[in-house]
Amino acid sequence: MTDLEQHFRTLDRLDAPDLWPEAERRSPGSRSGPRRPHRLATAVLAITVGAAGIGFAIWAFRERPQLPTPRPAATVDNGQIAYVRRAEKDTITLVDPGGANLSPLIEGSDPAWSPDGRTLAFVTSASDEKPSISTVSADGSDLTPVFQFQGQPGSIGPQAWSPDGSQLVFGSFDGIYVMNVDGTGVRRVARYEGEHACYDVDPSWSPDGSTIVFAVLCEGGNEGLWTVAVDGSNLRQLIGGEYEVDEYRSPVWSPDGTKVAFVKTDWTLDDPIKQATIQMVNADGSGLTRLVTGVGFDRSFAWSPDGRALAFTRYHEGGSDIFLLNLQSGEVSQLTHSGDAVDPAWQPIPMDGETASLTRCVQATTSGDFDGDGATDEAEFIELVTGSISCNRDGEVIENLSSQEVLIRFGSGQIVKQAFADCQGGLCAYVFSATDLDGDGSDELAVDVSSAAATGLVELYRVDPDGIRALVIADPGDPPYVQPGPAILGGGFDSGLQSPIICRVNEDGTRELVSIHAENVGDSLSGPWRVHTSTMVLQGDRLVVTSTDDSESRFPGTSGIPSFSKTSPFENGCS
Amino acid sequence: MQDALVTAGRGLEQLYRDDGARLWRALVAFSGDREVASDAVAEAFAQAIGRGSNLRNPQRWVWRAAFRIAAGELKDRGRFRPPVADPSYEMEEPSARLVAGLSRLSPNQRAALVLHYYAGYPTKEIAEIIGSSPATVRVHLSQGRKRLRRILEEQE
Repeated sequence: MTDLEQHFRTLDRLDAPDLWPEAERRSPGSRSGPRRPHRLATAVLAITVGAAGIGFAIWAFRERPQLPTPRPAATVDNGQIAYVRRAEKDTITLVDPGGANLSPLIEGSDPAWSPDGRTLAFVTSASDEKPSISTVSADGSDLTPVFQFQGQPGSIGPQAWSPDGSQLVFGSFDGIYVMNVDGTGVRRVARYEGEHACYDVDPSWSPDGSTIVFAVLCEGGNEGLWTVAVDGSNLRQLIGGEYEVDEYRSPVWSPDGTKVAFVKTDWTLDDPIKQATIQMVNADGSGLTRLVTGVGFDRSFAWSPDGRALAFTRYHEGGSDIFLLNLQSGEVSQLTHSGDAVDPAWQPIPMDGETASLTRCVQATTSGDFDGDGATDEAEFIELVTGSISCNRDGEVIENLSSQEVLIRFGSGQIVKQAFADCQGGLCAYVFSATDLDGDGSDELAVDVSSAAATGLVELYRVDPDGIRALVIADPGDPPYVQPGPAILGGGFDSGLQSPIICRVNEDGTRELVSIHAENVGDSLSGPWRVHTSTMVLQGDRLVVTSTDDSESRFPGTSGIPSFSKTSPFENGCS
Repeated sequence: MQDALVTAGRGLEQLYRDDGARLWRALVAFSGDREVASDAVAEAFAQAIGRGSNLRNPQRWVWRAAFRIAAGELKDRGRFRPPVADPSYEMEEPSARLVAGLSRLSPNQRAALVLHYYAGYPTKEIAEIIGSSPATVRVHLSQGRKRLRRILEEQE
């Protein structure tokens, strides 16, 4: 028994009162008398009402401007999320952002993914006195001890990777250290030297490799977040005051390096779950934004590699679990349900074959609920262009187009990316709309698939986590206007604008897709126009023609040519 | 629902009989105040009874709630540090010396030391109780024990 343990054993001599009757008297449903009004009961409740608090948090977030759609597109996909299950032993566990493929990886804590997503650095917890940092491959192989803190007992971790994957930065109670991934070249880059008893913790390496941000935690206070150049120079405070009572913890750079997110919490133990929020500030310290409240302390969140979501720890009545925050929609979803999950780290997946010789440009975006889970999903139409170009080309057609793809970021965090070969060489982003053709709560995707020569062709797709697949026209269709096979609609005899495709909701709630083909059979724009209308309903993945109609009209038409003045061939009344 | 609460209540009473005194003493060490400790224990168990079978780990939940209630009570009283116990009042001298020494530490250090050296919790469980990470708890323990040793040596 140590000397301190002997001191603490003297507490056993204190006679404890029997407080069970008082606990029963105060408990809900007690008939022994009114519950004693107690301010602190509210504090306890806050431990378990994170979900209630989220409404305000999301409301607050929505008051802020939405994050802009990145152009060019992100070059990193979101992989699995590693997190720690705090059972008898800490176990690093992997799970897909959608909740599938959950599997334990290795005993340890504080996981941090390498920039290439192939390796995890983590803290082994065999000894509380001298924890060490190790690395392991994403498949659990190649366990490699990297570093054990020598000398006086202390703490290391959490740690973060340099953007080139060659170094690690970690916090210790006596400073911020950088070392090579093989454990060599350990050097200190920052150490608190102020007048208070403080220490530098929670480092994060900027994506450009130049700067480390960290928190300064003190006894009875803290001094906010600081940044320092990797060579130890240019130390400056990012946010916070001098010896404040509110804690700023766990700063993490956004993937694009323009922002730092962090946990802001109360200094004392009083009601910390209610008080802890993830906030975000620009790299220059301006533009403070609150993102979500009701989060755990410390390294309790991670950016998604594409910068569009956060994974964070939330404590609740059943323990703690990992939740996902969609930064664009503000929606929060629960990822784990084990009640013992903390400290998420999100795996980056660099996109294959995309080097400096290939540029990804987002040409169109839309949002909807493609998988019908109630969460907003984001869709991008991306062109991959040979060479390093500016994506902002004001609508000009890229001549050196390499390929095209559709990328869906589901609200759950899952990403589906699929090559898209239906564009026939055109811009293919003129129409890119989510629409619920059958009213089942799951949106379909309408995409302009016109070639340069044939305008106004729209194809319809079913989108779900398994992929993107075209809807088909059921036999016999309505030849020659609507052909059996993939649902390619429109393409009138003069232009797409004279051959609109319309999704409409009828008065009885039923939904129809109407494809109008208009042909000018007169001598001038006023016509007359011959109009053929095909009306369809969606049944599963099949569009079934329910009626057809032929008529004649003068421009502007009044008998079924409602879209002459529209700028898009797809009139979406079903979104 | 009411049956579940009754069943859970019986389990919680057993938890109180097994662990209540230890929790109370830990809170006395943390707060330096018997009244704060008693109030926190009673309120934490009362809240646990209200939650019935929804608590996945009642013991950890009660400890967590009780420490936060005690910390909140100290803050509410406008004293971030507990009163230095009078050795001649209420406590035997060795306990009073310890509590007096703890009172000179930060709340996080105090909680970490009490939970580790008295209650015997490992760092990861301390982290859950005080809402922190194991790494931070290790820092609190490292700094706190150095300082407490120095304080206790000064008292001798």
